[in-house]
Amino acid sequence: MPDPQKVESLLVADIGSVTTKVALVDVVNHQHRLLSLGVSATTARSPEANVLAGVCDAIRQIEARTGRQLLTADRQLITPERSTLQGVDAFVACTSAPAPLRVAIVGVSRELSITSALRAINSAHATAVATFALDESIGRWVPVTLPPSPDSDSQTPRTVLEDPMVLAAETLARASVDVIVLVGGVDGGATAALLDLTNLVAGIVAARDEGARPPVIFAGNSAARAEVAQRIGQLTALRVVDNVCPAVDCENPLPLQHELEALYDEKKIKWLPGLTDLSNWTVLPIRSSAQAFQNVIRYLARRYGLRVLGVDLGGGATTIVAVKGEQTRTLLRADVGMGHHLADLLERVPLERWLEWLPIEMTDDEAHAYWLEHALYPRALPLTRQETYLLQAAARMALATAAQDLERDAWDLIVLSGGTFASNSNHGALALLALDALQPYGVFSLAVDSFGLVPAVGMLATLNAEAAASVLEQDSLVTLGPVIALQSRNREGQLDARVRLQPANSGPINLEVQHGSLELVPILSGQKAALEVRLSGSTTLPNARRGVFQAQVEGGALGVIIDARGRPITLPGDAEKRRTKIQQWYWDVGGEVAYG
Amino acid sequence: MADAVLPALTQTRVLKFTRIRRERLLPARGIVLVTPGSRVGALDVIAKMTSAVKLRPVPVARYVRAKENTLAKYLLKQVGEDFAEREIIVSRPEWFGLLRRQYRAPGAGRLAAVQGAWLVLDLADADVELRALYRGTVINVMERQGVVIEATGALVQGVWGAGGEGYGTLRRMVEPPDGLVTEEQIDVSTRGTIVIAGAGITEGALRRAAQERVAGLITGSLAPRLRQLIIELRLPTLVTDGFGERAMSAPIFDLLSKHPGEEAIINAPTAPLNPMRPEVFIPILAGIDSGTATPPPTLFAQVGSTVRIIGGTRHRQIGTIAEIVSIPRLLESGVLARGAEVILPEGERVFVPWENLELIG
Repeated sequence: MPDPQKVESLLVADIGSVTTKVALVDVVNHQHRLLSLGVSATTARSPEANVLAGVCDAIRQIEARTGRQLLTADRQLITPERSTLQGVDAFVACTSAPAPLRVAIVGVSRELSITSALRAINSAHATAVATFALDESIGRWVPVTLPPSPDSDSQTPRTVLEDPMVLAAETLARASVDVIVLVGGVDGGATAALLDLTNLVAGIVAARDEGARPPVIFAGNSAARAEVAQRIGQLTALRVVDNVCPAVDCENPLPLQHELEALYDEKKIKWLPGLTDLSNWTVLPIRSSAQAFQNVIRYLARRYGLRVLGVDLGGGATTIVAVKGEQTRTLLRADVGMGHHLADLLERVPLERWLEWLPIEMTDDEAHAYWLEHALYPRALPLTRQETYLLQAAARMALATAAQDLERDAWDLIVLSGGTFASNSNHGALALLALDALQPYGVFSLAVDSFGLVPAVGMLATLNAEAAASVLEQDSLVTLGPVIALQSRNREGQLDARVRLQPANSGPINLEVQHGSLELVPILSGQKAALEVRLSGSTTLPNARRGVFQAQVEGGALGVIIDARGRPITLPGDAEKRRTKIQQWYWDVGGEVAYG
Repeated sequence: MADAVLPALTQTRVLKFTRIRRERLLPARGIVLVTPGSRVGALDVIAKMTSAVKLRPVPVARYVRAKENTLAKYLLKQVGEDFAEREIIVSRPEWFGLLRRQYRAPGAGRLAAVQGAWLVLDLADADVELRALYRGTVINVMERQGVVIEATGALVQGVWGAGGEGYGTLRRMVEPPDGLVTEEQIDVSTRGTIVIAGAGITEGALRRAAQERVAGLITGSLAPRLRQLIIELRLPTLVTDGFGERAMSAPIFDLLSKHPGEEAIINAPTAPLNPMRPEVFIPILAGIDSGTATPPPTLFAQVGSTVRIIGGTRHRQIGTIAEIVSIPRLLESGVLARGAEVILPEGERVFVPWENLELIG
């Protein structure tokens, strides 16, 4: 590995499930800066079935734009950089292209151990495809209708009574999974039920061909480890981590989450087609984009001492990272994204809820068809204003679905990343999208990842933190501005607050903020201002003292945003009024600009 | 400096006569019944496996009220042994042998594992047979897994498919490519055929098609609300252009119209992450009227390439790349994008980002 301090020029790549991005970073005026970006389709599937093809395609774009040769004629990376300005010193990459781990959970209690295990699974690149909860599978036998047997004389279906435990175990046994997670019991508690489940898992594993046996992760009562190892260890690979639920009122999902992440690296990332060739270029192992994204959000939280929420709305998955002090919570929804998952999301979330966010009149079929086609062509850009509305409505649904398990909390900074937010100059519309989907409350800043490079920068940080910080702050993140999001029980049009903004070198700006309104205050980007919010009777804002909130804020690309629509945002029931209202909000944040 | 590198675009193959190779694989290990060089028809069974794994764990110790550690002595079958439906697998005497608590097999199968209180049964299912689907020649055999078949014929790839595999004769049900197939058009005469629709099919027609055992459906468009219904009906379906109610693309409609009554197959796996594009293949013997078939040439984005536009006011229109635009342009949507000028059949010239172009041909 090259000395990180001597690494000047780099290529950083993020191989997503839909798009591959490669950025050239080099030293300009003693600082690492982003010089060029290449974007191509990810080529993990047929006809290419080799991610290297997409990476090379993106690198060739950089070569064409910068005139700098980076690849040899036979597609080998030139490294280290030559004196003739050819090649780069290092290459790092992260990926979210592989499918998530398919996980089966076996546990004693749905409310305790399984809930904790699900929390770990929803924080890693994994999806729970089967769950066996012992406490749910005990009960009365249930009638099950069976199709007639082909060799039977009677062709009428039969109804038989079945043991719910057998039905649940059968679903578990027949699921195609990458790993089985076994949980249950608090540390030092009874082990009988857990050992019965261990036998079930061992039986299912033993019944399969040796080459087809999934590994098992045990994250239950630590007192049962030896017996679990004795029953399962000789049948398949057994990994043991700390109990996800060591006590009734205590949860510990992190060790299981880390083990699942390690397994994702081993079983999915390493097997990505073309990764072996690409690994020859990299100075660090290729990691998951979610981990790289988490690196950046934690870095921002540590460096500035802020409570930071990061949202990466990708094509194949959505990652939400919440960092407060030393606490980090990651939510990774591998079934929610702006790619092919949209079609599934349309099945799960009623169409009416998607249509609610459209400011224009459109038939259900027309909108539905656009969203289904976007799932087929997830790289397709919105070409018209109508398509922008449709795509942003879909992004609202995806983001809101991914964030539904996020505790309502106050943040200092919200970072928005992902294809929907990248390369879109309509910052007002992006801010509105985030505010509608996440509905955050309080005073915080909004920043957008303008090139969709934050995960790749997170990977760069593991090699050279200083270079990553420079690229992140100077090239990648665009601050949209501080947001004052008020909460109140007032009616539409009633006074929520009086806001006074005193910029450093100009006169004060005084506003009376009415409930239901959304306003932009024109404070220049980077300009500091003293903010004072005087709240009316029922209006609240975190950290307000005796109804007054005071802080120093700095204007962003949109100035200062005041969101007095309340939480949760209530949309008018009448369709026409609702469309008018949403259109008004688009106008209010400058998200309704005619381009092209 | 001009951006001389053109991105790789998604491709939809529409080929009047070509040579293709397709893997045909069993879902698990089995027996391959053909050898390299074998000529196969679409319905020929080329491999089979005894059954897919159909495991059923049973907490049998609880049923016969035995302790875990004593269960072994009440087992009448050992691991690996077969049993018949209703055969007694476990028998535990009670009341000094006057009564017996027994567990009978719920179906025929094999005892796969015994662990603690649990038996794991592998219930036998009908044999899984793998058919060739593509009429052609076996050129490679992967032991216990499947084969690679080389075939010549016409190929049309779709944008979405569901319902799996279908084989039948082609039957065009609409005259212009924007025609809709209605319930009245589906009757017993459509049984076993692959129905060609234009702009879509009605819900009634779709349900009737499933009832009448239509072999498959090829349509230019599909109403979005029918997507889930097709998955549920398991009717092999290929959508060539997209969702909504628009006409089938002219090149695809023309190609399919040239083969009335000919045998064809639909290969349309439902899984969204399946790497294979859903497709229709019409086998044609090489050398009859088309000369020698060659493998499809790789398509590149360049001036003169035929492309289909995705999105915007010219959604799904087919045109030709007239000029590569090196400077990014700002779209009505606020997005800055690189792309190409495309000439449409009426002579109109439009700028389209690379992300919204698909090579077709």
